[in-house]
Amino acid sequence: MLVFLLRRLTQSVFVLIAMMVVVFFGVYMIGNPVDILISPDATPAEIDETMARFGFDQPVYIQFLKFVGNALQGDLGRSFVHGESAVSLILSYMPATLELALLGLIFSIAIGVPLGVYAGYKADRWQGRAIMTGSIFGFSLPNFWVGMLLILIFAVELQWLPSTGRGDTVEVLGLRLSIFTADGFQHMILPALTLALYKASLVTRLARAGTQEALMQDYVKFARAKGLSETRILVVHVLKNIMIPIITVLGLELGSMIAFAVVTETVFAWPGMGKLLIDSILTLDRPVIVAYLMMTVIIFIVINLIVDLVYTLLDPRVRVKGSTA
Amino acid sequence: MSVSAPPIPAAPVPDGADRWRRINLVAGLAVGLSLTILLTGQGFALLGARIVLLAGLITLAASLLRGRAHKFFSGPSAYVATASLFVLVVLAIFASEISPQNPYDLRQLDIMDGRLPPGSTTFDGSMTYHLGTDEQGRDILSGILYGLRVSLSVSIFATLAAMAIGVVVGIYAAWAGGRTDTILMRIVDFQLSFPSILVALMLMAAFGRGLDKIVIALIIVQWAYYARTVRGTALSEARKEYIDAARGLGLPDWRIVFGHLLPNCIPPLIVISTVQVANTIVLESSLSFLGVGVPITQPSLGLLISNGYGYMLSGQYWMSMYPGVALLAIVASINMVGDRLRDTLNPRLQK
Repeated sequence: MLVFLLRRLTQSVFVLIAMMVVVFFGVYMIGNPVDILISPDATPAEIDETMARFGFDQPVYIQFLKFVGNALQGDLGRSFVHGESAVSLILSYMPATLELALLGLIFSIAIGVPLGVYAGYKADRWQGRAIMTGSIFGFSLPNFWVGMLLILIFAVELQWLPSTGRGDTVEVLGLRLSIFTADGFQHMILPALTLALYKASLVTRLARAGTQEALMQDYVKFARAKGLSETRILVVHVLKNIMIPIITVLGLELGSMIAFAVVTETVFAWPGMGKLLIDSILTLDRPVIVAYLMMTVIIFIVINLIVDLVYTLLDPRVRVKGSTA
Repeated sequence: MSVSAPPIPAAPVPDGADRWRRINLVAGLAVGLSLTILLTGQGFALLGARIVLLAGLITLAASLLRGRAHKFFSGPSAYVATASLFVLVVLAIFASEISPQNPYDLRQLDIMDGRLPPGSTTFDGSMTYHLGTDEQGRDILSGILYGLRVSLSVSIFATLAAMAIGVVVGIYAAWAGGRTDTILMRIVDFQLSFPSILVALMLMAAFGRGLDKIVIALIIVQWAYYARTVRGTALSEARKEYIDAARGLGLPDWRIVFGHLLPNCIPPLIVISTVQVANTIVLESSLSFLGVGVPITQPSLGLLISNGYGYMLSGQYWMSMYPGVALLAIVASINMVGDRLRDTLNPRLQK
């Protein structure tokens, strides 16, 4: 087990180093950042001065080593636009994204599981087919288009829910969160629903497959023989058995939720990391782009590591393979 | 009963497979040639090239479904999806002939006609804007037709190119095995552990917007799927007898790989690539919506939606709603056709 953990950790470090190289050469080397920093009518002396201040006059490998050295100390540069440290800027935007992704996950389970179980129960009837066809739409609908539609219906036409921003926030454990205020929660409903729809159709498919499989098992036959009602069999016996794989898959998907939040946050002007990234790309605020990238890579590495560990703990076959190989 | 020498193989049953192979080749060449003519804008017979392109595509589709059409068209949704896909492809191919206005030609635009609701007529009454106009007086219907063409061609081209790269890498990894295989598959795993939208966003942030750039980004995002799928298929195919037979004949490696292994690794990709075209359209439109996709001069559906988005909150819904409906229609119909194809072509369900 320890060997496995160490192997995975070394792999992660290699991935991180590889990403640093890719990110540095991808973002820093393409185009000349000086063009963005200095006005076009600056004198040559001013240009040289700025070049020296940001270290652009030095050879590439020194710039790279400096970048790595600073990154190891948690310093990924200052935002050109906000004038703040890029890392702390992103950290201050992070709670908004995390709470959105989390509520999205909860919504996707709340929508997907009942639909999927019902579709599995009525697999060969029109109800089951209709739900499955509907889930194709869930897959095909682009994220931003769903958001737009929701805004048009619930914010513009019906005027039930607000369409932009975060609303009131409240400080919980040092984080500014919207989810605990009534106004903030109202602001979250539409974006979280948008984010949830794609995952909801994934959950529907998983739950349907799980239910179909579970219905053929002996314990369901036994429960039927005991004379339990179909509802009770589905809600108590089947549901309990299909939830574990669904939760595992959704845990895996948390990372991609954060990535998809980029689109959703832009549609709803939700001030999270994704919106910050898009704004930074449009204003060419490189330190923020780099910092976002590096932090997302770290988040993904951590998620993948946790998933591997959980699998190892849950599935003995993986453990044997992992510790001997 | 005596054991006799193996019977001389009878002439192959004339099931028309050979004829179809030739037809496929001709159709494929026609599609390629007409696309080249259309993309380069060379040659005088653009309309002719479009007709040839459409005919070639129909032939290829027909040969794909040959003998299985009955299975494919089971249920109304298959008919609806196929019909709508066909109509949308025709609209995209003949966009410049059908659309009432050339949205790229600034001389045809009149700023006085800006932001008109659906059904209004031009300032001088010469033309009706069936789906309204955008802020620069562009006809939304024409914009959608041209945007459909941009979205479709970018996605199809990127998908095909990614498939080609993926096939080469996948087969190479499977054939070479050992360390090469491990390294290539590690790279694939590494890339697949990040969501494609994030990778594409990063690439576009580094490249800047542009048609060529978004195609490259979409290729980089996708090739790994194909590499992994093809490697799996190639590994299982390489163990089969016909490969041993080819080896026994003393064929060189390249002939075994290209002549025997490759053709047998392609069929599973047809379904994947169909669905993948839809995913690519969604990805491209999301990027364009975020402002890092296609250039403003050649708007795709995503960019059209993004352009009209600002006006939606003030009730001028048509600028982004109708392009959105078109996007939904093309993506949903491709996905549904892909779903039917999977059921029809799945080798495990055959026999």
